[in-house]
Amino acid sequence: MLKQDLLGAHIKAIWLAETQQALFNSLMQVMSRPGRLDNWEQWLENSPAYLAVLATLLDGEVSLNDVHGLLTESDWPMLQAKKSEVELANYLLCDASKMVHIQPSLGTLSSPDFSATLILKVAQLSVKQGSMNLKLTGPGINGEAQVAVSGMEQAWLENRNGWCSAFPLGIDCILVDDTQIMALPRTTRVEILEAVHNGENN
Amino acid sequence: MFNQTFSADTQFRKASAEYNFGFLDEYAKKEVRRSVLKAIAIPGYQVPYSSREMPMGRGFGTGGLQLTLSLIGKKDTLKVIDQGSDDSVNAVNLRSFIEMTCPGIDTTTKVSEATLIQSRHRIPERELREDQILVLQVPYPDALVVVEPSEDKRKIMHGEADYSRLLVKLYEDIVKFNEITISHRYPTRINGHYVIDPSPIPRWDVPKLNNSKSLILLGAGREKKIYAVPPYTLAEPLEFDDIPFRVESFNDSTGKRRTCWRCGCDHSFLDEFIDAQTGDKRYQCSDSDYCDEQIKSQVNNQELEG
Repeated sequence: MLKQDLLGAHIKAIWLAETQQALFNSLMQVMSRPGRLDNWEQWLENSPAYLAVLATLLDGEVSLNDVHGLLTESDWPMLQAKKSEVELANYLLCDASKMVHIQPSLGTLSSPDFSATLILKVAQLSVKQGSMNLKLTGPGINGEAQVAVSGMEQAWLENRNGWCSAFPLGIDCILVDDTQIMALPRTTRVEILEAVHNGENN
Repeated sequence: MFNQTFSADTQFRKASAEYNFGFLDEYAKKEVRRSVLKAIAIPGYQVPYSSREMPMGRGFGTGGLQLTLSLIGKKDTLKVIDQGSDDSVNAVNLRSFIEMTCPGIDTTTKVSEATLIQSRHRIPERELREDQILVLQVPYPDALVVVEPSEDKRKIMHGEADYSRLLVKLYEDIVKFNEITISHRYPTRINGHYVIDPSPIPRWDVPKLNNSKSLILLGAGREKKIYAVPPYTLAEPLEFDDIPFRVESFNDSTGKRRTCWRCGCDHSFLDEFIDAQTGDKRYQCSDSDYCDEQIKSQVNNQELEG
């Protein structure tokens, strides 16, 4: 369903300021509490969740690299973000089921905020069972948290752990499935409890 | 909460409605929001942002205000505190500004009802919940500024977690005065790395940063920095093995804990007042909502007993 924005144009809900305020609050909560899953179904209205994350955060001041070509040509003018190389991009959009050899920006020691944020699209996030069960500890987690991720190459997590091994350098990940969202900031210690190979979505 | 019907006020409110919800334009909000996520991901690191011009002087809470305006939505209930009180000038003005530019939000003076709390120099006595967010106004964000004037060098020191000179400063205090003389803005180490200036909260409030249930965001408008203490995160005031950190003592000369003259509370942070007529010192809870709450519960108890 299309809604009217401030200038009277009819656009999808994720591009509206009011929706983005609600989405950001949820995003802030999941970023400060790794392992928490929020469901965005009520706001999405058929838009992909990864597009909603980008719509909430991006404007012309930042750069984006769509590593696996998940975006359509019409999404770019709406996002306003600059296209950039992987090594330099502020935001990277990736399909977590396909591993690629990339080197995202990790920031510098005096400015670790120059690092990239990865938006990883996975098949399914769950608090119960999935093809890969993770144990999370670190800031924002009361004790420990467990989540299950399906449709994600284990190599992504191994690389992520490598990139985040020298705090304060590192990358922050936002994981999305069709409607749910979860975050892994660089401070979170991720342990892979068990991984079922050759069987996704079980 | 202030339903004034002055015509000038009504006109002002009408004019304010012409602004975007939350006064800031959406681009400004997005930048603050991106900085907030980075601040959470790197606990204690001061994320630079382009602090916008606000219709008030820098240093009057513009950092906290920009955070609040970027976060607030129509479903939120806001509480604004100035040194524990909802009724002092800074709190009243900020609250009325936010009410005018964010039509549809609720405001409250009760901590338990608020979803978003903006505070100047105090953390509420009552423990915050997971669904609440505390925004602190910060005048000076960098704890290292007392030992290193160059920001370039401070940023390197922060990155390397090199706080030796700050510790030397504390040590010199002990040598000279037999006590660490920092009364507020006590340097606090977050998640074992970055040391922050937790804004001018008294020492009393520093332990509340540790393992807090709520997210704590700090905004310095003049210095253009945003930083955060995420929930369930280690926050340790700098100390020495043999000289542990301690909070303010409210004992009188006989060693008895002073109490609030209004509610009789013996476990809250107290403000000292001088009685204008008699010249006597009086002590009162700094957190006015907490004080009112205690009086209310006492009245309820008396009614139950009577």
